[in-house]
Amino acid sequence: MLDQNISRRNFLQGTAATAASLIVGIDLVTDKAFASETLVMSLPNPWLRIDSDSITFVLDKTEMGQGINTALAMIVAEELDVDLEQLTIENAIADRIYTTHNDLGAQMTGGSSSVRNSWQPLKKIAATARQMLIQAAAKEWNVDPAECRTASGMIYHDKTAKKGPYGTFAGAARKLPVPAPQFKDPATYRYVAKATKRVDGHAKVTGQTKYGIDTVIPGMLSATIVRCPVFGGNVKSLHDKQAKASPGVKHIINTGTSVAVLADTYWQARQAAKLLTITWYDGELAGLSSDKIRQEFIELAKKDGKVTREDGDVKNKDKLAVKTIDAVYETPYLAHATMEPQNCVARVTSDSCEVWAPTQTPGVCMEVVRGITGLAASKIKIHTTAIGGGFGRRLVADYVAEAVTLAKEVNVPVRVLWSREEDMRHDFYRPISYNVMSGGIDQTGNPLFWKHRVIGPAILAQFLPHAIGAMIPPWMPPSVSKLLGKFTGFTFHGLKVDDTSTEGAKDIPYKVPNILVDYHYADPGVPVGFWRSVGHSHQAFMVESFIDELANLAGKDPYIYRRELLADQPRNLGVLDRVAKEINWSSPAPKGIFRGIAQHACFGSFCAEAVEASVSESGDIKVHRVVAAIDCGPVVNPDGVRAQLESAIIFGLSAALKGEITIENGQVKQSNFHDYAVLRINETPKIETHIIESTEPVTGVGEPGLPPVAPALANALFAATGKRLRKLPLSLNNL
Amino acid sequence: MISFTINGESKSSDVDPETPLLWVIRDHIGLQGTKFGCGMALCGACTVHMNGDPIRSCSVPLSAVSGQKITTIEGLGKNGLTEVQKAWLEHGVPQCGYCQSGQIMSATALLAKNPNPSDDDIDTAMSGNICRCGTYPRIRAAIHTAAKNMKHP
Repeated sequence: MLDQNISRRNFLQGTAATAASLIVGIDLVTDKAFASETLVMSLPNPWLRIDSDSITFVLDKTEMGQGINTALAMIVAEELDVDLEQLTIENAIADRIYTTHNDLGAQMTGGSSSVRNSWQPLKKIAATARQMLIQAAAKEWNVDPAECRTASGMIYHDKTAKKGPYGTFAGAARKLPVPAPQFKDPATYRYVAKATKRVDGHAKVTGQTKYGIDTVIPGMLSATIVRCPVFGGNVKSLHDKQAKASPGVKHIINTGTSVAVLADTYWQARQAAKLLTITWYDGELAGLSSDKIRQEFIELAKKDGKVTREDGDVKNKDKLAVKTIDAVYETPYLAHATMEPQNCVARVTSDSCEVWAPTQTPGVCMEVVRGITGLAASKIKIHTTAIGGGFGRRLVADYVAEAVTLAKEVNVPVRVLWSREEDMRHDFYRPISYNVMSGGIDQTGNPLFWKHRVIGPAILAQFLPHAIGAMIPPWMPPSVSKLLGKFTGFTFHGLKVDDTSTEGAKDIPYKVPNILVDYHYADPGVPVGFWRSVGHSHQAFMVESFIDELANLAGKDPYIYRRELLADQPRNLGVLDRVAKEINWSSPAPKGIFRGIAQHACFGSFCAEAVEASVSESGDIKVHRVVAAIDCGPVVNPDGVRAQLESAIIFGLSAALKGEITIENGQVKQSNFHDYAVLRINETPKIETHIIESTEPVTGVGEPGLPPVAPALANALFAATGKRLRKLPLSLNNL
Repeated sequence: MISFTINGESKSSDVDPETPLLWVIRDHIGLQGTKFGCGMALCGACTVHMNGDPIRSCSVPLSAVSGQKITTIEGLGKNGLTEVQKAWLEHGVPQCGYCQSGQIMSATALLAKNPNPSDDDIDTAMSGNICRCGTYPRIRAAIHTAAKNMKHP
C-alpha cells in the first residue's frame, strides 16, 4: 500500500508509488500548474489515490465547519463518477505541493478561497483519472474505450457484459499516457449544484470526530501555560516549589515570557499552575488602555493619512455641497472565541518531529517547527486535525510553537491546551478601527463628495513576519525566513499601508464623483489577526451606515438611494434588489418593527441583507428577521452556501450587538463568555437565505455574509429611533 | 474511590474528588465526545446527563456524581441514531461540530421532559449552549422535527 505521506520529496525519490495505485496529478515541474492551464498527469499525486480497495481524496484545505470537505469531495465524486460515500477523505499533511493552487501563497485556508481555488483543478484531476481507468479497462477487455461507461466506481462494457471496480484497473492505468480529461455534461450532475448533506455529519452528531483536543499520544504530558497578562511582558521571578510538589506535576519550565506546567493530566497541570508565584516585567505596554488608544487615534485623525483611493478632487467640495454631514465611526478589538480553545500535541526526537494541530495553516506550522527544531522539512510531519472553529484565529501557529518548544525541552510528547481565559486574553484580535467620515450631496441629493479616514493597526505588518517562511521557497533555511520576516514587517511600517485595513472602504461601489479614502497605520501593540471577513467586517459598517446617512440627508429611501448609485454595478444591484423584494421593502413593516438594508462585496462575492428589528421602551434591541441574498457565481453545494450565510449572519450579529475586547493596564479585560458575550439561540432571528443564479466566476461564501449585517441592523435602528449608532457594539442604552 | 454509572457501565475512580467530571470522562474514562469549552458552565459544550438531567460537566466535581447515572453523547442511541441525532442530520445542523455533543445532550433532555416544545421552550432549554458557527436556526428546526418523529416514529 501507498504511504499516506505523499509528497514532492518521495515523488522525486520515486518511492511512493506502487503498482496497485493510480495517482493522478499535476505537473510538478511548475508550481503554477493549477493556475495556468497546464494540468498534466504525473505519478504520484497528492490529491487522489485509487487503490485496489479504496478511493482516497486528500483534502488540502482545513475543514473548520465551513463544509469544504463536503464541497470538494462533491466535485471529485462528480467527475470521478463515484458515490460520495465511496470516497475516503483524508486530511493532507503539510507539504509545499499544496501551495500550487492556493492564492494565499501558502498551504492555508482562509479568504473564502477554497472552492474558488480548487474547483477547476479537482475537476481536472478527477476527470482525468476516470478517463485513464476507462482506457485501462478497455485495453484489458480489448474493447473500444468509447463504448465503456462508468457508474459508482465501476466500469462497464455493456456489449460484452464486462464490468469491474476502479481498483482493479488502477495499476494498469498508471502506466498509460495522460489523456485529455472529458468532463461530465453539467446536466447529468449528481452532486454539484445539488443540496448535499455533509460528509462528516454522522461523526459530528455521535461525538466521534477527533478534534485537536482529542489527540492522545502514549506517554504524553499535558501542559498549561501561564503567560504574562500584559502583552509583551516577561518573567521577572518565579517561585514554583509548591507547584512542583502538586500531584502529577513532572516539569515546570520558565520560557522567559511564560511559565509552563507539565503534568500527567490537564487538570493536574491547571491546579498546579494556581500554586505558582510569578512576578512579571510588564514591559512597554503596561500603561496601555482602550482610552489611550482612542486618544492617540483622535490625534492622528487630524492629519492626512496615506491615500488608498482618490477619485476626482474632494477639495473645497464641502463648500459646493448643498448639505454635508460629518461622522466618527468606531469598532473595537474582537476575539475569535472559537469553541475549541487553542491546543496542539507535539512529539520531538533528535531527528524527527510530529505535530497534531487544529490549524488553518499547516504550511506556516511547518516553518514554525523548522525554526524551532532545526530539522529538515522531510523530518517533520504536520497533521491537521478536525478543528472546532477557525474564523481566522488558527492562521497563527503560536500554540504550535508552544507545544513543539516544550516537547523538545522535555523529550516526551506534550499537549498544550489553553483555558478559555487564556484564549480570550491572548488572541490575535480583529483590529480596532477609528474612522472619520464626511460627505456632501448636491441639489439633486446625489453624493458630491465622500471622505473617509481610517485609523488602526495593520494585520499584515504583524502576520507576514510570522508567515513569510511558508511563502518563500522551501529550501531557504529558517534563518533566511526570519530575516525576510523582519524585512516584511519593516516594509509595512515604511509603506504604512495594508489592504486589510481599508478593504471595503477604498472599494466603495457607489457612484460618487469625488472620493478620498486615506489611512493611518497606528499599532498600539496589541496582537491583531484575521477575523472572519477581515477589514470588511468593520469597514462595511462604516460605509453602509454612512451611505444611509447620505440617503437620509437627501430625504430619500435608503434602498432606492443605493439602487440609483449602483446603476453601473449589476451584481451589487442584483443582491440588493433581491433582499428588498424578499423582505417586501416597498410595503410597511409590521407594527413596531423597523427595517434596515445594506449590501457589500468582498472576496469576489456579493451579498445584501435586510433586517427587521424592534426596540423596547428601555432601549433593548431585538432582531426579528434577517433576509440575505448572495451572488457567488455557480454554487457547488447550495445547502453549504445557506449554512455559511446563516453562520456569518449570526457571527456578525454577535459582533454587532455584543463583542468588545477592551484593554486596561496593557491587558485584556474580558476573560470568558460572561464578559465577552456571543449570540445565543434565544437571541437568534429568523434567517432567510437566497442564492442568485450566476454564471460569473466561482467565489467563496465563508465570509461575505458577515459584513452587511451590522450596518443593516444599525440602519434599522435608525429607522426605529432616529438615532444614528456609529459605534459597535450597537447600544441604545448608553446614549 | 468514587463509583458511578456511565452509559450503563459501572465505573470507579480514585482521582482527586474535586476533579471536574468533564476531565474524568475525557482523560480517565477516555470518552472524548464531551468537549471542553469554557470551564465555567457558560457555553454548554461539556453537557452530559445526570439521571437524565443536563449538567455542565466542567463545573461538577467527581464527588458530586457518586452513585449517579451519567450519560454522554457516546451513550445515546445504543441501537443506532436517536431521533434527535437523525433530525440533526436531516437539517444539516453541524458545522465545526465542536459544540454539537452538548447541544444534542441538551435537546435530548428537553424532549424527554417536554415532548412538544414551543420555540420559547427551546430558547429556555438551549440558551446555555453556545455555537460560534451559528447553527441555532437549524437546531431549532431539528428539535421540532425530532419532537414530531418521536411521537410518530
